[in-house]
Amino acid sequence: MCFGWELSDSDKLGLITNVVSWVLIFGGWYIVNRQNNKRETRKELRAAFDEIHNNVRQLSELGINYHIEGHNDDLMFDIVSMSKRLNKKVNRLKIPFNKKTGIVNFLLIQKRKLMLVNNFGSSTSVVKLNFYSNEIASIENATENLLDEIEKVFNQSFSKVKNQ
Amino acid sequence: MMTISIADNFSPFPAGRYIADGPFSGERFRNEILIPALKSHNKIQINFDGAFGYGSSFLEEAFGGLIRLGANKKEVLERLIFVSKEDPFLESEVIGYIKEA
Repeated sequence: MCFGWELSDSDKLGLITNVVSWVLIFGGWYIVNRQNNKRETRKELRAAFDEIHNNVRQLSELGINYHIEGHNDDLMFDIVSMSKRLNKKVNRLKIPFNKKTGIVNFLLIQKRKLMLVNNFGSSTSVVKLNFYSNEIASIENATENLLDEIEKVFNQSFSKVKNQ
Repeated sequence: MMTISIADNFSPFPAGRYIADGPFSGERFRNEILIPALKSHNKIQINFDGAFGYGSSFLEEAFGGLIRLGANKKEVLERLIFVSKEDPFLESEVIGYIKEA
């Protein structure tokens, strides 16, 4: 098929130069945009993890106060509701489910230490614990393990974002 | 199948282990809601949504307490269905209390 016209060599060169320029512009925009998105994702994740980190610490302090000071309805409800909020926040994290369950397992261990099965929620049977007791030490220990797991999951999630 | 919403059918503020600990304890929920439901229905769906939150003492006494009263672990796990959209990890916690009781 003949169109009745042909590009001269200089037109061809001009066309090629134009195409290459547009490819470079769009390619550059795509790469920069992708990097920006990754950076934003990382920032969002970091902020979410930091918030969870702070809540874990607050929850741990509330739990320790509860066991040292003895039963108090307000403190008990604060602990229970904060624990629920923490689970919700972890569930909302934009990370794979298997990583969430890693954090949740440690959260559950911490919850059990905080709400010692036989020493929580009872106005009659809760015993005041000594700050240097094994139970308080185990709450501290569970909290540190949980925080460690949170950081581990963040680092793994970030590596994944980085490698995409 | 019967559905029990703890917030609607019992209290939005369930707390405490024993009846002496408060009006909406795990022991009371087990005795007044759960056991009668198990006697009259084969499958029971427990919905945890809508409540303020759950202490481990409430959950342990309500569900782990069933086993201590003589219920069969396997049968309890087969007949109870746990649902929580608000806290999807609650199910595994409760199952843990039943298995460990």
